[in-house]
Amino acid sequence: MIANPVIPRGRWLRAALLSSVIAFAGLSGHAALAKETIVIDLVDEPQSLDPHLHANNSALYTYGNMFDNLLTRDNAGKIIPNIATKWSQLSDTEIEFTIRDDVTFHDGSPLTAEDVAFSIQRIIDPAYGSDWISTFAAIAGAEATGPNTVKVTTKTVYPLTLGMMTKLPVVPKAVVEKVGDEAFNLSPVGSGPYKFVAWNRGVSVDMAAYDGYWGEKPEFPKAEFRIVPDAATRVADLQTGAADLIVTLTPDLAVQIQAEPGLKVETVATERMAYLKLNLEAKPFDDIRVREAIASAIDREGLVQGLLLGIGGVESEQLIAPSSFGSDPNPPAFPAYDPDHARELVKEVSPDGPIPMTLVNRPPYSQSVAEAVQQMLIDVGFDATLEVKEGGTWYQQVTGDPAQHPDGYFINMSCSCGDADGLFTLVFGKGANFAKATGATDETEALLVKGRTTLDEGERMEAYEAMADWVAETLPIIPMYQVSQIYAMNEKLSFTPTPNETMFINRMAWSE
Amino acid sequence: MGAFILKRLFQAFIAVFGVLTFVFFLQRLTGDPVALLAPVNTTAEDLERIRHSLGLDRPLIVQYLDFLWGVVRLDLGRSLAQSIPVSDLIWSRLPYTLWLAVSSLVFALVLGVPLGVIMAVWRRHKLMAIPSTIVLAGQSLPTFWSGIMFILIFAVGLGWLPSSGARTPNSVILPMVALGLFSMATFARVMRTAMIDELSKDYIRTARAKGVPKNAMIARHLMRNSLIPLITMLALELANLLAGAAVVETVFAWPGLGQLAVQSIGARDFPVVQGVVLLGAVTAISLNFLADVLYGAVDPRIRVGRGG
Repeated sequence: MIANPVIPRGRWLRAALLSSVIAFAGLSGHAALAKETIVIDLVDEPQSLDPHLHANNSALYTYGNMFDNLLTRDNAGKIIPNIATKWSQLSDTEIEFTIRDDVTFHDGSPLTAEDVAFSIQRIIDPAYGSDWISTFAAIAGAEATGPNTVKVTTKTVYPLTLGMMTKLPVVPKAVVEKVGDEAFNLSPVGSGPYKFVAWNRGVSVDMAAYDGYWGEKPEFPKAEFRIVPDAATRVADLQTGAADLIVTLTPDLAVQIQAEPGLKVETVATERMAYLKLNLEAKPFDDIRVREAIASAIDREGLVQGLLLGIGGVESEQLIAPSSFGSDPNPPAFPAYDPDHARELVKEVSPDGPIPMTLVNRPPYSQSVAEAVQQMLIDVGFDATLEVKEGGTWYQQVTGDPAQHPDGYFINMSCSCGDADGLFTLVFGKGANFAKATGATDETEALLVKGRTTLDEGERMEAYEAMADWVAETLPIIPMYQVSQIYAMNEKLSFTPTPNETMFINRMAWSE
Repeated sequence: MGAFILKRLFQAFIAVFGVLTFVFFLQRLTGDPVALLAPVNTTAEDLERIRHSLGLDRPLIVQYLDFLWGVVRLDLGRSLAQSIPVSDLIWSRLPYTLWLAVSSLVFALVLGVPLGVIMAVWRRHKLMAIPSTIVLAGQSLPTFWSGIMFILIFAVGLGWLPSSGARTPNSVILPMVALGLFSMATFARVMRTAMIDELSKDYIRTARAKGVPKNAMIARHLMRNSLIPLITMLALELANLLAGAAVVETVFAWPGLGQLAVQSIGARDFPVVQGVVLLGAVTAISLNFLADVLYGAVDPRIRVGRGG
């Protein structure tokens, strides 16, 4: 691993270097003036700056600061007004949103209900080909019903419409129609706190604060999102002051930064859940005793504290993160870590020797966690083998015919949607790509359908509690931990990471 | 000479065609790009529709012929991950890679050739352990490690140079050195061997006998004859530098083609990978071709022998 050589970079190296060239030591400090530009190091290039087109994290971080979503979430995850100030349910399938009348796009034109309706129509248009199309699948259409009102129609009764609208960036209809989709992607015009300045391919996306912004204005006149693929290099950028905030670090790099004066690490347990998925159509894993043995063999605390250094994740026995709607406040009992019990169960099922078991992992999911789980399973009597596959081949195997599945595979899954419907449907829903050989039944499907077609929150909650009970009894998956997103930054920067992995610069502050 | 060039051109064409075919089919063995590009919640129907709109649901042979026809028309298609023409992506990255590769080459030559000469002429001197160690280090340090060490020493520790990116003119220095070290070592070794070879030849003995001063002898006789193997190496090294750029550009966040290739391979962005490989293959093959021609120009024996 590339990052490793950095760790033993003991203090001696720094001491030796600094003492030999004291004259230059002053050059690496930070400027003590007011902060003109905030520099954020991302891992890869934003796939698009047109916010309706692509959805990789770098793109979300970047265009998220140039566009306003119809609604947004506060740092705790609660849905709050943004472009829409209020909304009312007209009927079971219709919601009317009232739009602010003081919002302007970066070209000075006012943002109207037409722009909102156009944005929704654009994202659900199959011919346009948005990555978001499945996210917005429940939407039938949208129309401007007045200068400041938009009516959104869903295909069925759909309780998640508001959550969905926190992911709807509003684009200017006139500009998109005038310049075309292609040019809009290269030179986007939004209504957000920052306006687009330049996209230097492979280097950075540069922005400048928009003076006419309607909401909370950012502290930094300029923002620069840079593309720095190597984690150790991002750390070096932070150490030299070339960057103020860096994303996606390994726990060992985070520990190293924590020890540095002037720098700090912030983590947040995201909605992303790391779990081991079992194949309920393979023998003997169709036997609940075998699955219970696996659940009892995995030492979550050991994984999180030992391998993730208490930074990379938060132990979880649940699929649904506590920050999401539908997370069970009184979770059902899950088999506790008890290797002796696991051993007994394995002996009971297979008195003649170890149970063969194939495991598959893929990068970027933690390989050390996969190997540790393999060892834990070997310790209780499984003859576990672990194979590492490349993303594409992994995907084909685990979403294909269950007869070709491994007995278990590791996965980190998130919907970043703040609702139990997201993960439950992705993992157990009928027809979902990853929901193969899960043991899901008509009853569980009925619960999921109820959960996503009922407006009453109490009834929805009941459905998801019943799902959580079913998972704990059936053990089709063994949840391990909530994946934490690790950010490192200059001590002077205050930034609160969120479980749905957003990064709004106008919520950050700088103190000298 | 004309027949020779024609023959080499034909070989070059076959080689490029072979590389393209290999890359095209090899990539398609690695799985479905659409599934990796789309968000996890994308339904099977939506995935199928995306596949269709990108033309990835067509029979492989049709996609292949379409790709070749595109290459003939110099149309490399559109990036799957970024939805813009591949040629735009390549053009925006190419200058950075050229700048890095050429400066690394110059760095390697300026340091490597004199080092090789010194190591040959004073090869029995005690202090020769020093250049030997430098050469050994240059040859054996992996760039992903030396690159990070350079960042730690010169950017984090001393604050002399930027740690990454390509914003300021001095940004190129660290990646240039990290990338050029290996070639530097190669040049020094080749130069040393060639010089030692020449030193034992008759014309040197004659020159010595008639009293040519040592420095004049090195400059006028030795260097000139030792340069021949170096020229071949030069073309090969430039190709190596372009390849090595993949690692160095990733470490230093240098926005060149190598970094683009690495990210595109990870994202299964087939058209971009094909475009970069095409460019790489054409460059490498042209450089070899050029080396052959140059070789002939410097050494008349080769020109006569091959041209006949």
